[in-house]
Amino acid sequence: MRPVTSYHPQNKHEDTILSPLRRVTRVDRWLWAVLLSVMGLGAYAYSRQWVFGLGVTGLNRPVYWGVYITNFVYFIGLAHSGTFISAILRLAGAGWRKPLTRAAEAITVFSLPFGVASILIDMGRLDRVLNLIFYGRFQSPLLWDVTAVSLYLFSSVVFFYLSLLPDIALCRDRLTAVPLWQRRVYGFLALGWQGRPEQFHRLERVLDGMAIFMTMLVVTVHTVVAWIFGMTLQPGWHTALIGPFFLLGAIFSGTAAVVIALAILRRVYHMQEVLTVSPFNSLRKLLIVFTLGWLYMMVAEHLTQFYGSLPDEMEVFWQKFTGTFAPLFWLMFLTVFVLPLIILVFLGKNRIGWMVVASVLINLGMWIERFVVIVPTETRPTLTTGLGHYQPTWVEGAITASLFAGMVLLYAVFTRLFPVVPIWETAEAVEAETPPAGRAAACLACGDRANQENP
Amino acid sequence: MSIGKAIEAFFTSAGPGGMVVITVISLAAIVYFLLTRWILRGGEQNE
Repeated sequence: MRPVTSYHPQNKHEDTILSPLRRVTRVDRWLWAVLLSVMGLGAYAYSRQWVFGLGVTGLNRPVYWGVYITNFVYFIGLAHSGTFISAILRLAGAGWRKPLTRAAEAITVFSLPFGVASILIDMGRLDRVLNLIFYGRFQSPLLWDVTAVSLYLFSSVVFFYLSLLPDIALCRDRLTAVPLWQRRVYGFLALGWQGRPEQFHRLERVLDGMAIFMTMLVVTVHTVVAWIFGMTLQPGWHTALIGPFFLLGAIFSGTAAVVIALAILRRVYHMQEVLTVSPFNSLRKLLIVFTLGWLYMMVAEHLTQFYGSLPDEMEVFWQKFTGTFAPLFWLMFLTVFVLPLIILVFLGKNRIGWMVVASVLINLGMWIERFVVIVPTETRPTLTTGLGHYQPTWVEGAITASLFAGMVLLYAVFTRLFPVVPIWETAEAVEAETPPAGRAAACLACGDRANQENP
Repeated sequence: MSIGKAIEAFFTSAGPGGMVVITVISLAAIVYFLLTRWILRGGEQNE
């Protein structure tokens, strides 16, 4: 439903931001087709697993968790990007985050479902998830995880949708030449938004309140994810550091993912004037801090283990440093710490290409880090007999590829339907027809600069 | 039954965990619905 009157903040970059929404190119269709094909391969692999059971994977006794759980932790971590950029930096009053928030929040919304899917795939039989609902005991960290992740997914979608609302209304009013179904989608999702000053005022208040709640959730969710491991007595997992370590790693890989996504959007959609180099430089500084923070956590965890020298712990410890998993461990160290730090400090300033290289390395390394945390402990358990061995199969590889393809596909389609840069949050003035009495309130939506101009 | 026993039973009995999940999500849905409606009604009385 289109309201009788509607007011929109003025943004000089509006045409540039709306430009990708006006048409779908042939390249887009090819990209979507390729991603769908990869997802099809994953669906075939999953059908094999469905028919023949988890025996078609490399999972075995005592290695019950492998690539699927690695994916779960990785996707949940990736999802922290949106909350970090949008909610935490909102609370900190960091104005430079404004052009980046939408792209970051989209990563959250589109990666979380694939984290959840990873768990369901790992269960082998989907119907087993009902056991958690009907017979779940709250002493189990698995149930804490279901509660926290479900609430986080739900809250992220609401936070994302509310901050998108004024821009959906703008699309409804501006994009009159797009296909009818697209206009109907905008009309339906805009919920009759009119852009009244009081609406903007209330929206800002709700988003501020939700930012506090989301910040609390982001800490809770990844700590609880870590506690799935930490609450067991398995060597390498049973440490109080595992929660903070997982949390830092999550925000670290998520922020790096935002850099990659923004750089691609900037290049593909010709948004050099909207997404300037300045916010990239701010992200670069954050990444440097996170890189050093990661090293601190790494040293703290392993030094504590080494000085304790418990036999079971040291078995896993040496597996990582010099044993079977040493190549992966040191590759992780290279890609998460050494190379990114060199690139970000010496090459990254004002050079987005180098920042992207560092961010890709960080994400690759963080995936390996999750694998190196999970699998070595599984192969050297304290409670079962003998040593374990784990070699992922093509089924796990195909399903993993399909999960990543699914996330990229959703993201790519989203960028062709909705503005990837928040138009109302980056606006510099209110529209001329806004009633003068409501101007001051409407400026709440126009950023700090507008507030300074209209005190 | 003492309060301590009741709390212990909550954590160790089969079933209530699922209820907690459903309750938390349902409460969140109600709160978010009300907040969205409150935002959309902003300034209605001035029109």
